[in-house]
Amino acid sequence: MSTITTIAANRLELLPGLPLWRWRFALLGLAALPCLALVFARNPEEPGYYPPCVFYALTGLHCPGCGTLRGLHQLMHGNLLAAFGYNPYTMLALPIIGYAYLSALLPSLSGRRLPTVFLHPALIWGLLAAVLSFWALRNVPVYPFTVLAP
Amino acid sequence: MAYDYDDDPIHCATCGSEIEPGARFCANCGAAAQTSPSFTPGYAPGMGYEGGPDYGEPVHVPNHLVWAIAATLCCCVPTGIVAIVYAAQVNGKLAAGDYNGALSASNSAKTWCWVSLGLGVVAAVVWGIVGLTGAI
Repeated sequence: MSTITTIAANRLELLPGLPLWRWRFALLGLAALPCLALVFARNPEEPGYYPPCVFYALTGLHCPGCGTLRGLHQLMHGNLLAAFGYNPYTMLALPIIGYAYLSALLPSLSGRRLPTVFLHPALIWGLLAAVLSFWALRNVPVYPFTVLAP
Repeated sequence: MAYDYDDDPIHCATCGSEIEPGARFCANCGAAAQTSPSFTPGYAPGMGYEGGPDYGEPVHVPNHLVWAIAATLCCCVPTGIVAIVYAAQVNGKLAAGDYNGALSASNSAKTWCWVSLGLGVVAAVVWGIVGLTGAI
C-alpha cells in the first residue's frame, strides 16, 4: 500500500471526531442483532434456515463448536440445561466472548473502556488442552462420552 | 491481555494522534509508525492523548484469544486451534519480557484467526454452490 492511500484511508471519517475503527465496531454491534434475532426465532433443529456445517458433512465428526447455534437457541428460550447439553464449551465461553464484545463496543459508543484482563499463559495452554480433549471425547460413541456430543 | 478489544488504536510516537492499524506512517505528522520495544503504548512520555490509564500490564500486545475461541466455535475450522496456540505464546512471551516475540506471536494469532474466517466462508460458499448444482 502506498503512503498516499494509507494517509487517505486514515483521513476517512464518517463523522468528524469519530474515527473509522469506532464506526467499524458500532456497525459490527448492529450487525449482530438480526443474527441473534434469527437464532431466537428459528430453531436450528428445523432444516432450511441455516447452512449445514461443512466440517461435519465432510468428516462426520463433531467439532468443538458443534451444537453452538442449537445451544444458543435453547439458551435464549431459558433452557439452560438443554443449552449446556448441546455444547458446554460454548456456554462457558459466552461470558468471555460477551466481555470482549462489550470491551469492543463500549469505547465506540461512550469512549470509556473496560479493564483488560491478563491471563496467565498456563491458563491458555490449559484451555487448549481442554478444547482438544473435548473435541476428541465428544466423538467417542460410547456412554459417558456420548453426553458431550450435541 | 485476554479480554480486550483487539483493535486498540495505535498512537503515533511523535505527535500522539491515532494511527489506523496496519498503517506504516502517521496520517497527522507523517512520521513512521514504529513499534519498538522502547515504545510502550500508554506510557511513552509526552504523548498527551486522551486515552485513560493502561490497566494491567504496561505493554499492550493483543493475543486475539477471544477471536481464536470464536473461530473454534463458529467457523468449524481447526485452524482456530492454531490461533489459540499463538495466543498462549503471546502471554507467555509477555510474561517473560520478550516484547518482540510477543508481537510476532500476536501477528501470527491474528493471521490464523483470519485464515479460520476465510476458510469458513470459502467452505460455506463452495458447499452452497455444490448443494445448489446438486439440486438442479
